Amino acid sequence: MNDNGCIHLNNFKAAKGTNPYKIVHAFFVSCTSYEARRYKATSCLCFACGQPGPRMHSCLHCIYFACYAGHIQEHSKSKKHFLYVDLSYGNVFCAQCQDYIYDRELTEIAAIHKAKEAKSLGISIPFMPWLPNHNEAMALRRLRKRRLISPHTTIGLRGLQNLGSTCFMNCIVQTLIHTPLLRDYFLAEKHKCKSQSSSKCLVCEVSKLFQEFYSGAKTPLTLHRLLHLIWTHARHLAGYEQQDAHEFFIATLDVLHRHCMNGVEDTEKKENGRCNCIIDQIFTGGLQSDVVCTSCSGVSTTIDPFWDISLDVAGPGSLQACLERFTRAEHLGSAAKIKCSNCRAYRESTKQLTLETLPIVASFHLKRFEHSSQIDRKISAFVSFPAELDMTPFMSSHRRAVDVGAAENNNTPEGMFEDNRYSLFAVVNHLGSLDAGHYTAYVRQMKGSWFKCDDHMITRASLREVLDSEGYLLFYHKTVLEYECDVS
Amino acid sequence: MKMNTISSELSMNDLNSKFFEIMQNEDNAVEATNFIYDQLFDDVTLGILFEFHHGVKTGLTDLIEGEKEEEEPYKIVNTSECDVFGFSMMKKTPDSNCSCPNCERPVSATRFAPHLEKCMGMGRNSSRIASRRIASNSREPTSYAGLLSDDDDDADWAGGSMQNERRKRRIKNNNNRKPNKMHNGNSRNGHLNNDANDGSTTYETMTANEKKNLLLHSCGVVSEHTKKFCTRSTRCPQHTEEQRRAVRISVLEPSTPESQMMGLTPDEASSPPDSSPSSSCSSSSRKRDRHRAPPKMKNKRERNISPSQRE
Repeated sequence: MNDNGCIHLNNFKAAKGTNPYKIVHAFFVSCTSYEARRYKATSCLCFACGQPGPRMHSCLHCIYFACYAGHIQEHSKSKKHFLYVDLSYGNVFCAQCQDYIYDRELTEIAAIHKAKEAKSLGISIPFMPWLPNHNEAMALRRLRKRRLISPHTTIGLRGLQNLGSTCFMNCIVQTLIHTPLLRDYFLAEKHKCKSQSSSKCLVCEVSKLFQEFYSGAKTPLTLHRLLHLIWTHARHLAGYEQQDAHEFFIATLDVLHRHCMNGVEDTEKKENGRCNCIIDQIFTGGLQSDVVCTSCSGVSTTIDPFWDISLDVAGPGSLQACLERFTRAEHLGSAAKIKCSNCRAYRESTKQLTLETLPIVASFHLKRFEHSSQIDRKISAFVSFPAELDMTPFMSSHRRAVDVGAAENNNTPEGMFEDNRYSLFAVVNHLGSLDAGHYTAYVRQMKGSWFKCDDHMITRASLREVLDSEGYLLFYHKTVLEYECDVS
Repeated sequence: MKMNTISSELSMNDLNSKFFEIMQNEDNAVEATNFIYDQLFDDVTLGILFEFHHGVKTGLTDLIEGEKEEEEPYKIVNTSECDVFGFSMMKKTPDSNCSCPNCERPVSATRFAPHLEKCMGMGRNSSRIASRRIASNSREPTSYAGLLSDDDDDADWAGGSMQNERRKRRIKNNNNRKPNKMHNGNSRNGHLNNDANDGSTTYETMTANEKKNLLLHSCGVVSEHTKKFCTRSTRCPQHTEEQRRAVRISVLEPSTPESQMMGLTPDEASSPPDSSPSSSCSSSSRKRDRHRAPPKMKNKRERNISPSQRE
């Protein structure tokens, strides 16, 4: 990779060093202090025409600001000052080469200033495109072949051997492997194992699985080590005969979360009181419960983390209707009085569940299995679910805004501009009856490219087929990801 | 320097009041809005152009893109008789052997789960096998021979090919005989029988070590109604951390080091509830426990509270 600037810049650096660039950059490109911002705001005008643009540049030889509409070129020609800096991004133009040139040393200075600027403004570091370091660049040069994910190849797909009624596990593994953000994490080799032995770490095992799925091999994989690891660390999954895909999913997330934390220092573990392991970053949301006393209208609010949402299927015919009912205020009858801390007495109350924070992957569990003392049965009622889902109506902030809006009229709801759109990327289905059933999964490999995973058998599927299926576990991925902006 | 003269001409206050004065005029406000929008738009566009130019000029784009790998070997097969890899839909699952991570013996892959269940001492009867193995404290394969004959349910060892015939017969028998096996297990090891249909049992018949082991891996809270303990995970949503702590203190003698480890620092045995969330249902039931006092032992899957069930 050629980022050694040009001969003219190198001569300039040899004579004057990088200080001129540093000063221009710190004051007029990425302002690293309040004072610098003041200078930039008040003085970035073309010295020739007094206009703020177009495209302001500063001469690198002397402090001279001019626009790119001709005045910076004039200055350069008349003074023979051939290098000038673009004030939006800090790139250097060489008038002798007649092009912008890129120098690694200056790029590094710019990156440091950007970080300082963000810190001085109290915002998170802005997006910077990835630059390979020396070793990475060497590796990229040595290995020229690039494997791409395409809708026409089996790269990223792999059948999974049934190990004796282990379809519940195969479905969940297919779902995890096809979770976009989890895939990015593992293929970028972000897991740095700190545990004593990586053979005992489930996260390492999943990391290996990703390599296997993307290796191009076609034979089914045998997940015996994975099953052993999960059973070892989730003993309550009492043997394979009673396995439920939902239970296995939750147990797997739990073991992964625990193993992510292995060997991690306590201080690194939590950010703002929240675990920041990859599992929690992707799967954890916050469920808000508001209990309102009917006597004094006092509200007791609790927020609990969740990994999935279990929904009743008897009655409503769509996922949205299920969610509507899940987040509806419910009157707790006289038989269920709760002690109100305000009244200091047991009172009747209403309770409402809403989603306080949404996870990146929203997992829904349709409660198709009913177990009671009288009867065990499976509810096969059709519940429609969309390919694209907007979660805004089920958010705590939206509910609050609706309530406030009803009372005070025309109040701008808080969080109105949040994008809470989700798209479906995996569906786990249970086929057959309660005691003799089989699990299969539909997964989305790329947008619009769906596959049916039935143990070792992977076949193409259409979105229609997916949406027409019964649905037991539904997995949605946030459509638009925002950069986290934590002020610290 | 010229820069200083500009900034000293106007103080920040002057700038602010000038700004508000100018913005009073609606035309000026519109013009300013358009100007800011154009600036932002130009800036963003320029950023994309610079990134692209940088990639091309330095060779980074070429370095990252490299050469596309030949797709032909990985092309999806599009016929109705085959799956995407070209394997026939009619053909049965190809079997292979895998090495059991627990006992290091070769096991037929398609029979691995039932094997592992017993090998780890998780299924019916298997606690007996497992505890014997622990007792015999030997990792030699020879010791398994005895176990094999001891429990004729163990059909999954991938032994020699000559055993195949016997194995098939056993699998068949195994299926027919399931109901009989129940009382076989119950008669001797009732308290350790982890039958999930039942899901609970009592502490009375257990040794201190068994209790300790159980409480390391399961919830263990005793039900008021059935007097049995909960065999679900240490993070079971039916019961609270307080209840779990209480049962650990009461079941294990308060002075033993185990009880201190388990009762006072539950984080060792399980992750704290705030750091590891479980399903939404569990959190709502945890909350319900907080609001209403007596927790009820409920059937396994009834924990999922939904609006209609929230009483």
